[in-house]
Amino acid sequence: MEDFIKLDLPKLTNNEINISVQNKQVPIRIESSYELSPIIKNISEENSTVESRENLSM
Amino acid sequence: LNLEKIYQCDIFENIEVIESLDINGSKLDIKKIIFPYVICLNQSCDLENDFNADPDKNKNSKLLHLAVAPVFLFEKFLIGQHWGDIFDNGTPINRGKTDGKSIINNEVPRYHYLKFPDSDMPELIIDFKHFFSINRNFLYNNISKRHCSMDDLFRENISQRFSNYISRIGLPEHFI
Repeated sequence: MEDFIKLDLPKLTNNEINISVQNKQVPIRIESSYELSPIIKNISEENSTVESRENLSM
Repeated sequence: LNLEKIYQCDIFENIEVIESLDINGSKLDIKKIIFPYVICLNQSCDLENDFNADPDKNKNSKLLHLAVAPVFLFEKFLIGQHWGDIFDNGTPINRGKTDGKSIINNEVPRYHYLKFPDSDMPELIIDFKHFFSINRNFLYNNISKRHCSMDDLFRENISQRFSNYISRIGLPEHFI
């Protein structure tokens, strides 16, 4: 009885994943920061509702 | 084996888990952890019903999240460095001494040691204590990261040991 079945899988393409594949010895924590667009910034600052999000996107 | 379906004890590699999303002023800060390996611990029947559920008729069978546990390289585990920079190093374990042998023989409820016949598969160890959930659709969208599936007998062994571990009852050390 085989105790596991290995699958043929496509190659990974994502750059970030490729980095982790090279170092896949231990879990890695990644911290990243993104600049919010003005519309989302307004929503986050005003704690807006869904209704106001619709208004902003119009 | 249906390659489109997730099975109990499937092992996935390079799985990203979002730790936090914080908005600070005009910036969105994201922390995530990439796990080298995780193993799916859901029951086979739940995964089967979820996969086969008709979304219009059988909503109670769908799963929102799947239970997974981290799987570590055993060599890193032995030297206590299996969590990388995320946690402090653990106490080294000698595989030839009693504590190491107990883990390899799967006599320690918290851990499950895995050794594969393929020479390209390293020795692995599951740490049931750190199980967590991951979005069902996210894992299905990343099904190409599945590294392997287990045969039935090995699945059931892992599943039974996991259920025994999480159903344990901790008693106080000193009785009154």
